[in-house]
Amino acid sequence: MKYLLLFYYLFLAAFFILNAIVITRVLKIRYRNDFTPKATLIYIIAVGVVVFASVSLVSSLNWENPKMPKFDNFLDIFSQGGKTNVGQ
Amino acid sequence: MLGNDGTFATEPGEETLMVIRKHWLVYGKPTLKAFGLLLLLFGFWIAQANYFQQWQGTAIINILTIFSSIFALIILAYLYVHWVNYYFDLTILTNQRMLFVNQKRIFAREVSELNFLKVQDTKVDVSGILQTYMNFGNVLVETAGESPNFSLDHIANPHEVANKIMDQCERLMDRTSNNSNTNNVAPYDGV
Repeated sequence: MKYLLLFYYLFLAAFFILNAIVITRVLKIRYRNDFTPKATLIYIIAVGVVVFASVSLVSSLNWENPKMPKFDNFLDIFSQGGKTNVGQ
Repeated sequence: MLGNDGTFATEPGEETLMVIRKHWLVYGKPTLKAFGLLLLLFGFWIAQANYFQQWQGTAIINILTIFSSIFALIILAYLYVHWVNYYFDLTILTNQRMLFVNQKRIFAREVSELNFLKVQDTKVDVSGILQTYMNFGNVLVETAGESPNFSLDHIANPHEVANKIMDQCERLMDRTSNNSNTNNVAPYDGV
């Protein structure tokens, strides 16, 4: 399971490098007084928010010894109004 | 041609009249789909925190979280690249010529230009309810001789653009014929 985590961080690294290349290219071909810097800033903020949220979620998960899920009482989680102790 | 300094590098006496882009609906459709997918992902993350408690600590939640995170980033990148293709795909109308910039991908663009003196006619094509009410459509610029025709697809206010092109064409032709008439006048020899 740790390989999945490694894959995720490698993906993040590749994503950041590719984005740096693309943003550099876009800022090079832009015209004077156009909307490109603002759009790029909005994109960077959006990526930041998604990365922050996903890294927070990922770091809160159990990566040491994850269990296999029980599927026999899958529907119970919806029938008991969300939070349930079924399966614990 | 376009300059590297962020301007349209106009020639002396040339001024930019219009910068034409595709109608925002062209960008709006895939954007709505992408936002829908992003909302689904955020919904999944919220559901994961509130509803899937019995699955906490299991491998399936780990896998779903990782792939949903990757998917969210890919959607954002798709939106940005799509916006770049939309925003930099433009036609520039100056008082002398038209510049067609076709942004195919981030690292692929095609720039061609057409002098107004070569323009013969324009055709406007607005078809369908959406195009009629949102006032967008295609303009075909027909050229003289063997020069290829140019098509401006899904642009806003196509009638206005076509009128502007023909108007500018007539002006330039008038100016050119006036200049040639002036040049053809026989010089006064003082007799």
